[in-house]
Amino acid sequence: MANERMLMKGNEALAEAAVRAGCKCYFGYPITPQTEIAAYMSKRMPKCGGVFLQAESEIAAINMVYGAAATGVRAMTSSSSPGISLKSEGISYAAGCDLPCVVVNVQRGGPGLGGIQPAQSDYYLATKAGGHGDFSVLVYAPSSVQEMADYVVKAFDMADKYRMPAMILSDGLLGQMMEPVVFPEIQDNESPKEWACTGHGNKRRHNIINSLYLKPEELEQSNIERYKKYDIVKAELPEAENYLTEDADIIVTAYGASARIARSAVNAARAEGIKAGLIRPITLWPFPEKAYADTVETAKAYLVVELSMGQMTDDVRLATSCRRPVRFFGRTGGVIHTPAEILAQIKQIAKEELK
Amino acid sequence: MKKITVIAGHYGSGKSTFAANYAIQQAAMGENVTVVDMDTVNPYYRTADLEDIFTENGVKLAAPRYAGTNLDVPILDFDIPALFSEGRNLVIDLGGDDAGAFPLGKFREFIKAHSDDAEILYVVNFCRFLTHEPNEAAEILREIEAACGLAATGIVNNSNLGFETDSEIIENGRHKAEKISVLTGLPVFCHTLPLIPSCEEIDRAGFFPLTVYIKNVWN
Repeated sequence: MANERMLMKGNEALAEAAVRAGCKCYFGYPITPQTEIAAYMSKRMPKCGGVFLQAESEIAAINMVYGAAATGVRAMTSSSSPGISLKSEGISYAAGCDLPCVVVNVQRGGPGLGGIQPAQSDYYLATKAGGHGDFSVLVYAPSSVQEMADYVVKAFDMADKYRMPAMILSDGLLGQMMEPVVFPEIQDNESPKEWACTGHGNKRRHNIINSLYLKPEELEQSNIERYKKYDIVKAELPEAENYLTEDADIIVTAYGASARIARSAVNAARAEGIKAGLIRPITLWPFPEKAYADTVETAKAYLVVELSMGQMTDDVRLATSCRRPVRFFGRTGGVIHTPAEILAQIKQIAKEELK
Repeated sequence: MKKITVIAGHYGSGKSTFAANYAIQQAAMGENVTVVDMDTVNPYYRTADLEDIFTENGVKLAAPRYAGTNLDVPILDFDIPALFSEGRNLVIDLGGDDAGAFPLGKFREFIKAHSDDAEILYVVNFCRFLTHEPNEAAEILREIEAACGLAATGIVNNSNLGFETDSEIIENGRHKAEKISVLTGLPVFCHTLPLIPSCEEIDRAGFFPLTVYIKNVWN
């Protein structure tokens, strides 16, 4: 059944793909709408020699990930928006120790307890403010159940390769909906981890995993080194999908579930003779600036579509060097925009900007 | 058709879709029907979401009073014997797996006392990852039966790949349904056929035609 297609929820597909990617430790705490990941892991992990542990809190879970990752084991935790806020401190510690791990955020409406319906209002939390201190995490934004599976594998591989935490930024829609999925043949991409705390066996010096530096110059140097690594990541990892952008006058840009809806609106606009296209960022950090820069000469305007109050808009303005108008259309609180609503926005821009 | 039908199955097997279709079919045949939303596990895609469709089709809905609200907690504020005494057929839609079947245990003795009027149907989709093989599906059935203390009476083969279901998927599903029937000793109650574009070519004879109420938000 290796290449057979299965009907799965996004959360289930992500969990199964994580196991196949070699995730040996899952630590979590229940929260809607990501609970299927924990439920799935609780049944699956004991059958494949892995560890499932329901922690006493989100904070405990991320620190268990920190500990497991320090031994070089592939470890993951998942939560939804309020739970990710709680994990922020632990994510910062992992980043400060250059530990690879995967954190999954199946976003729900906020702020506060918010709601349990889908949202994309943790863009800042994921890409700008994942915790205290100077650091970033890799952020992948899947847009289908298949990509939930594919990108969790990639997240583990890239987290290992660059020694940094990676996040899957999903949402309640992708997590709950069912679509056919095929699991990729897993390559063994686990890099050797000479830095891991696995016991020196009297054969080498101690490996130390630590983010505390009491000498200012040492801490500054560690930050400088980490940002050199980020420069490499920014050069190597940005990923985006360009759809009908070559001749597009109006470029809609959206990630995750929103991109599915935006694509329908782009097709509808094309059917009405408006040259519309779509840029779908797949990595949100590093932001795929080139995908935008390549279109800025030909496009007349951009429309950012998100399930938020416009958190990605500034990144699009920067990536286009503010050379074209960047409009925004969003719904929040768990309300999902319809293709017709987005089409109306495209038509309005066509009327105002394409003279 | 029985006076009481319980719909059980794995998460995402299509319990609610089948329950809605079965209740609407009964109503179309002139029966008075109440659909009972007994899902205490998952607040998404629950039977109560289809309230408008039930109203249009003359089906009554019984759901926890706070379903779909901030108080959507695992409570059952209705009583199966009381609903039964209204003289309407009941189609009881459980939550997924053993966790979803557990609350039915509360009404175990009542259902046993009316066993001649009751059927317990196990919905299975062999395209779901954890019920891909007949023996895996049979194991989940055993867990469901243990959780509610009641034995299933039939299999509803609801094998599908969502909007990408085709004749091959339907054929494979039928084949596996026959296997689980042998494994469990339970008859196949029906094979479903989704009424979607990719299945238009398939001859409906011998199938339970299924209207799919869940839509993709991007279409």
